[in-house]
Amino acid sequence: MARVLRSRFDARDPQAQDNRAAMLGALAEIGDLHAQVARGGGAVDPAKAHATVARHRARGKLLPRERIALLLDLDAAFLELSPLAGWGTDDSLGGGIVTGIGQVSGVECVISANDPTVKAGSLSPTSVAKAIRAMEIARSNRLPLISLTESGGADLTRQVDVFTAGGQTFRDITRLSAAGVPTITLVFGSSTAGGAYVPGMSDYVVLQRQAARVYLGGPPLVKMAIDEDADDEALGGAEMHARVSGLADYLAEDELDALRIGRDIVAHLHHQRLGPGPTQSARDPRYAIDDLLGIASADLRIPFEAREVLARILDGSEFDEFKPLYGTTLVAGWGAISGFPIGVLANNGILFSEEANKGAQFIQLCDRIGVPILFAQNITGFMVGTRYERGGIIKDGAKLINAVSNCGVPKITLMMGASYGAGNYAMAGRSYDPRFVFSWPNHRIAVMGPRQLAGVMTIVARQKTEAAGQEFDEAAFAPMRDAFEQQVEQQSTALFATGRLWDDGIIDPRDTRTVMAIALSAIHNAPIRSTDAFGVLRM
Amino acid sequence: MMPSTAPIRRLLVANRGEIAMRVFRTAHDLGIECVAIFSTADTGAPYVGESDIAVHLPGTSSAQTYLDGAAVIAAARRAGADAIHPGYGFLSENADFAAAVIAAGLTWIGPSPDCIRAMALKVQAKAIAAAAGVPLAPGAELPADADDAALLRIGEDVGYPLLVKASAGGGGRGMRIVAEPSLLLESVASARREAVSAFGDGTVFAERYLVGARHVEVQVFGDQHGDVVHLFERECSVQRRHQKVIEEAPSPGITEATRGQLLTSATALARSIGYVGAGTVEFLVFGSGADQGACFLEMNTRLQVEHPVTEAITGIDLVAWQIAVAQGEPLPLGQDQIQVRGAAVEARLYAEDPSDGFAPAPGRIERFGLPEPAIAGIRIDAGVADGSLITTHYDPMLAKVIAHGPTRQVAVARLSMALRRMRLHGPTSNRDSLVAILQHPVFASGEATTDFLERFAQVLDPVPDPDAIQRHLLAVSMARATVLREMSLARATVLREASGQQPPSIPLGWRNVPAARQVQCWQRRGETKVHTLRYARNAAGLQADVLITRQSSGADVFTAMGVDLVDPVVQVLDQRLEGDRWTVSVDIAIAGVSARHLVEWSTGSQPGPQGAVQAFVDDGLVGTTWSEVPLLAREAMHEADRHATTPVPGTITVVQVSDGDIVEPGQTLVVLESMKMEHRITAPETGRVVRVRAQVGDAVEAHAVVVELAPVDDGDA
Repeated sequence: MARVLRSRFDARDPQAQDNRAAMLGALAEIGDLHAQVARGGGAVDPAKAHATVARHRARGKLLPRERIALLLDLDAAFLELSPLAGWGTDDSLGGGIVTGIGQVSGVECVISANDPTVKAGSLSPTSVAKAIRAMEIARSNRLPLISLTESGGADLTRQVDVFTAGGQTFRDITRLSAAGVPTITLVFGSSTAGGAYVPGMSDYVVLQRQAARVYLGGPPLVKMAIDEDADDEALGGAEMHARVSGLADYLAEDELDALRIGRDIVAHLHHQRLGPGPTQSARDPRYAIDDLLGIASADLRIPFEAREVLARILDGSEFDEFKPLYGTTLVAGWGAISGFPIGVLANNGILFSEEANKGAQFIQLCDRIGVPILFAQNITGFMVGTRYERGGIIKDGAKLINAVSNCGVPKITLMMGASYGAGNYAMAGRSYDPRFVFSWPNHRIAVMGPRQLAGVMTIVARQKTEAAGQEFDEAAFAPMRDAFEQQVEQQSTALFATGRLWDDGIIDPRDTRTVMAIALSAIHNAPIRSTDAFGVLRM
Repeated sequence: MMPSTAPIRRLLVANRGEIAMRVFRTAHDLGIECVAIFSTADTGAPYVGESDIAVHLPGTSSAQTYLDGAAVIAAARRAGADAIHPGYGFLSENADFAAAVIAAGLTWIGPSPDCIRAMALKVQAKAIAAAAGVPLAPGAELPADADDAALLRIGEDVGYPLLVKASAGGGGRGMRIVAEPSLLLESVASARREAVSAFGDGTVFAERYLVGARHVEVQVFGDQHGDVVHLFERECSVQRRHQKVIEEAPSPGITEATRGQLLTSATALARSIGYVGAGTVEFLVFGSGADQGACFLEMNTRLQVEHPVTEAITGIDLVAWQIAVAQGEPLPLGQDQIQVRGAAVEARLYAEDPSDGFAPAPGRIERFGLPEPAIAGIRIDAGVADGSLITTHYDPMLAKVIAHGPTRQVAVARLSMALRRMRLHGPTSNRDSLVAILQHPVFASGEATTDFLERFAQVLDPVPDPDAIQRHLLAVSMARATVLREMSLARATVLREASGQQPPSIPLGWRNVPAARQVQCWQRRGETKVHTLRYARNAAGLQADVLITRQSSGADVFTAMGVDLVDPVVQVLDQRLEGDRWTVSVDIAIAGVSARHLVEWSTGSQPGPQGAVQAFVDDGLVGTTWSEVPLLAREAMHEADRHATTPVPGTITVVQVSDGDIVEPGQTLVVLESMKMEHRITAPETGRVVRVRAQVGDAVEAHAVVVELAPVDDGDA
């Protein structure tokens, strides 16, 4: 029988209270950013954003989140993906596009909606990356894609960074279709030039009367190219596409009608889930999930017990631990979230050879029995030093990375703290194709810790100076060292990572179980497949 | 008259609905077998199921069935019945029918044909009453040969306002209220016309119209041995169009002196005509205190609709007495053994819309009844049950609800509570209006007079408690969301396939980023406005507001300002599907005030667009009915789709319409020949031909408009 994890966490502990305060502070900051994205308008200044939104509404149009709310089944959950993409970049926060997973007509779908109140829905590099990521989630999990389109096309001022990457979006739509994943596009407004291929490549196209404008070249471009004075409606109106060109499969009277048709289309897909699904009823954990705020360290130099986290996200706090006495800094075992069985690998410290071997074996076991794996990362990296190099930590680490890379079962990665160095790779970092990556606000990610990185840089600088026969001036180097450390610190934060789409969003630790349940439920739309070949394991 | 002593073994009730059920109940109690007759429209009606033998009378109209005396007697013969109880209405006061029943050798449960005749003609009845010492309102006959001047003189003598009544009339037909002399002649003429057509007798008379009077009636009972007793009085002042709405006993507004006078007069009248069986002598009572007076209205020679209030205060089963008397037995109790205990009130529940001129509201009753726990002193005489169909063929009365209590106040309060607590799911009813009457201070103080509903017309369209409406809106919305979610989980997700049958532990309506609120639109029956509930759920609970809009179009929904619901807390306790009916119980608290709501709807009965449902919400204090407004409904057909267009290119071979024609959906307008195939171009919907664009021989492109159509407006009809 599964063992019930026993918690030793005391919320009254000063450390826990500090962690909690820091986490709530970070969540407040993220909450403000979410609110900024959600209100639309694309401006930091609420008054300015409000004016833009008001202009949009005055045209009788709905905001993308309103469209999504109406498209979704009543009381269905909606997990918005990468809401803060573009943070810390030149692009608009959120990238002027809303993506997420929600249930439509009883079917979990990926929804991708342009926000026409953000730079007229024009596409920045962030928009493109976010759309591509959403399509990747649709493809890998076999979720129908519904695009709610109203976009001015590529942000022409950014065409250098958008043009080539943007092509992939159209390729991916048709590849979804080829993979048997239905694609549906509802067009509420402009869908110009490359944007015209969003409906063009989709299986089902709904155009809204008097609103949709779908053309390769708009009137100005047509005038430039062939000196034709073209009328919007005749050139790419919904009526024309419904009656003449045949691009539109359905002509919608208004936005609500378009959404209704979209729901009807999903209903008639008869989409079947191909995963095995949950094997038991969902049961609440025995410990309050709220405790996670105090458990996760604000200062990542202070380790925290991974089992305390598992006791708050696994069904019934039950955990079948594997090799509990071996390779103890990597916790491995089986449990369930919302009834979905799951294998867990969670860091309880730095990785040694034993941990690497244990992890590699555990991944193979999960792969054999077709159980998805949750990687709960709080890792500063692999152990270094002569003793460990002699012990073969590279080849042991390679085994783990081999297993992570080649296993067939889906992976979910939870960034619950540090993610440094090769530890990021071995624990299914973004490059290792986890189906989903979610981060807690205290998450830090870099090749190594800022202080270590600055320290390493100092040592390298000293060696270089001394090799040149000069004396290293520690005091003179200090400002450079501090500046570097500060820069690394800034570029290691959860916000920096989410801004670059290194994850699928920062989540409130208290939502972890819900987010994991949604992710697992999405994953089970596709068959869970084991691999028939790992790479050569170096012995 | 020789007393008849034949014991009744099998009784046919020449009626339907609640009164048939009522008579069956007592007959069965007495060990008498019961025969029902039923029209085609009443096939499967609850009262038919209560009978031991049922005889089908083919046809649906009353004239073909319940009013066809010969058919009823033939049915009694075929079924082997030895007695007929006429109930009320239909043939109950038809002397010829009574005579035919007796002639057929059957026992007639009612007064003799002579008594019925004596009281049927009002002019004659008044003369008999006067002879028996019964007070009369000033009045006079309006002879058919009187000239205009003579009529006006009679009017002057009677005094205004006055009533012109048909002598043979009843139920308000052939009756006119005349406020002043200038309107008299026209009213007399029209009352005569109506009397001739309705009763075959144009005799009319004038009677002083007593404004602000009370309607008080005395229940009398006579046996075949010449004994007559009274069972005290009832008051039925709350009336609409001379039809009683609320009835009670005893009368709250007559003095002891008046009561004595009425009881004495009524028994004297009954005695003077040798009355046998149950009868009611009706009076108008005017004034108060020592100035109170009364005058005779008419005598009804049958069991009254409102007899249960008399049964409640006297403890006497009037139908049992009717049967006893018809079998020749003496009256079971003497006058001094008949006592009044407490007070009783009856309300007539109708499928009608009081706010729309009492328009009948036919339809299917999805659920009818008073849920547990029982309320003391409540009796329900119903003709309907779950699933009954209310048709337009007969009276749309659903039930009589009667409350008895130690005092009038308790009886009224019990009746109000029973009405409010009743599950009444289906057509529009007068329930809320009845409750408003019972709760009206004028009624509560016993001061209601026959003009009550005209004076206090607001009770016909009572203003609902806004807090209750908000709670009910929230309840119906949350119930709907829960069931839709349940259904979609059942349909589509593997989560149902797991052993546990539980939805996943994902909170309802969960969001990780602030999102637009979810929206549901509902329309409450009787209102044109749309209630839009917008809600979001987060860790802190539910945030919800309500927008009231006059229309359901998208723009308003999102721009109007809403009313915030204060701290709404919703707990869906249970949802069950039985047959095609969902029942969801929901606890709703707003601003800390909590109530349990039962929300019900049928998935099959009212399939609207997008599966929109009509739902019923009951919280024990008020019941409301809501129609889902499909938010994503398709707008009206676009202009261009209304015209007739060519499906393919071809040549016009026939044109069958011309400008101005009204066309029906599917009607052929134009015939097109294309590739040796003949295509009929038909009207997509009812419309008016604005212009025919095609002529025979024209070669046309595909999708060309050949006939322009416009919607039919009133001017076209």
